[in-house]
Amino acid sequence: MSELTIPVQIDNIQHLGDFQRARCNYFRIEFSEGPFTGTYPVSHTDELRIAAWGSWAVLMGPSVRVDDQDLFLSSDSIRETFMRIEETKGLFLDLGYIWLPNQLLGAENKNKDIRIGDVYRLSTRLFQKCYLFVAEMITEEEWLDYCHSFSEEIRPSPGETAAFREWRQKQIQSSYERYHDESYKVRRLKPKRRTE
Amino acid sequence: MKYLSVTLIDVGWGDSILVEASDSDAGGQRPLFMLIDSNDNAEKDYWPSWNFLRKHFGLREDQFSVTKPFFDAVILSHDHSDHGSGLKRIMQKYGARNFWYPKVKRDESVVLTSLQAYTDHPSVRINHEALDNTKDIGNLGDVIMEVLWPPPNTIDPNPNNNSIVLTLELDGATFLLTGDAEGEIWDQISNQIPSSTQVIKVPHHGSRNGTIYHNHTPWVDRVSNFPNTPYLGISCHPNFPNRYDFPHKDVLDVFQQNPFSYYRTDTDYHVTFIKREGEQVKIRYSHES
Repeated sequence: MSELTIPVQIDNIQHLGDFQRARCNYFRIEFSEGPFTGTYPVSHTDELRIAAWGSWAVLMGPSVRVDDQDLFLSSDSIRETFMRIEETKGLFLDLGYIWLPNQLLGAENKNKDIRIGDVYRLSTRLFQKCYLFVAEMITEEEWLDYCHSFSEEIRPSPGETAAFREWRQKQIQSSYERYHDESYKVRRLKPKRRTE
Repeated sequence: MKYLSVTLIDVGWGDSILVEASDSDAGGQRPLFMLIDSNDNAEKDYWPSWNFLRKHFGLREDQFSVTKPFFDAVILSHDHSDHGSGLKRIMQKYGARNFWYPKVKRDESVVLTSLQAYTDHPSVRINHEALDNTKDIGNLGDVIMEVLWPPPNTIDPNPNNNSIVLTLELDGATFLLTGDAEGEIWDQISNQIPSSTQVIKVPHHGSRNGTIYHNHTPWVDRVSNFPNTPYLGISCHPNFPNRYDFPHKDVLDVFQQNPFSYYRTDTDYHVTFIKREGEQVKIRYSHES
């Protein structure tokens, strides 16, 4: 596999007849103050490990200054990197998604081997083809051919799967505590009453 | 005049629903807005939900100003990308007083946790909270809102079945917003669908599992004998990937066997259902198929 790899997380797994594929999210950064002026693809900037496509980029790893690892291996690394991006003027962090054949993710016929939230890393060229398919710039047949040709260019990332699961659990725990906080009703909509 | 307007935005794939309500207590000066879901695919349709909102509010700038926080509530019906993609951008641009969502499995929430992290950011601070059918979310202006689903103590492994099912009521007419809740949910709650229901967003984009459950059709059976046959709106997945069959032929057959009128975002584009006080529900759409 190429050294440059992009993390994606499984969002949804479909088993509908011959429609055997998973929707996977990636972290998308947009440069709201104009096109990024790096070369294509750019692997590292001073701060962020990204692959840039003109005025937007894919996040490839934690901020360099947050973590010297290439991978997201702790929830703190994820949280700190996201905070850095959110606090940087001109950057906007969002989610995008691609589709991947279940077979590439290690699943055979049933959803036994893969789980929602699992993290995989894929090469930039496999990502490009998946992106082009979502953008309807290549056909389904072309996309499947590329996925077959590049089937060695994807691998599970168990360390990142664990880190993202921990990060999500912390986020949900915070929400859970809020749910049970009876005092947290200050911004309710109008009190309920029947209309006349 | 009191009114409720619900627009199924044509986002090509997924859901995005704009709710607008009059607010008599505010002298009718400014309507209130709520957004349910967004699927802003930057690659294919260039942020269709965001662009709809931008143009829609731009055309109405003589009626009200768009100032943050603009939305009274933004709702993620359930934790799937085709319902949550783009919500962050919309909350960032417009602001929101509340962000609501269903409860989710703690380690599998990919979209929601990213949105929660954003709304928790010190520079954003949008009130966010999980909804269930014990929560009183109040009125949206003149419109009474009720949560029919999910219940408080269960989280289904299938995110579709955690969808927030919402009723909106004005002047004796109820609109039912269904997320992607599938047949087994309708088998449990169809008897709670108010008989005043006049508009239904068809569950799960018209998929077979959103309407047909063990060879029967729980919500259709319930509403087909209502005094006013409800209008149906379908947020379709028309062409990509075409094998998804949303809406499914079997579901369309069910609709055609009943006295329903249905409107589709793939052929009618943006579909708006409007209830004005003292008037019947009206439908407006962008394109006549």
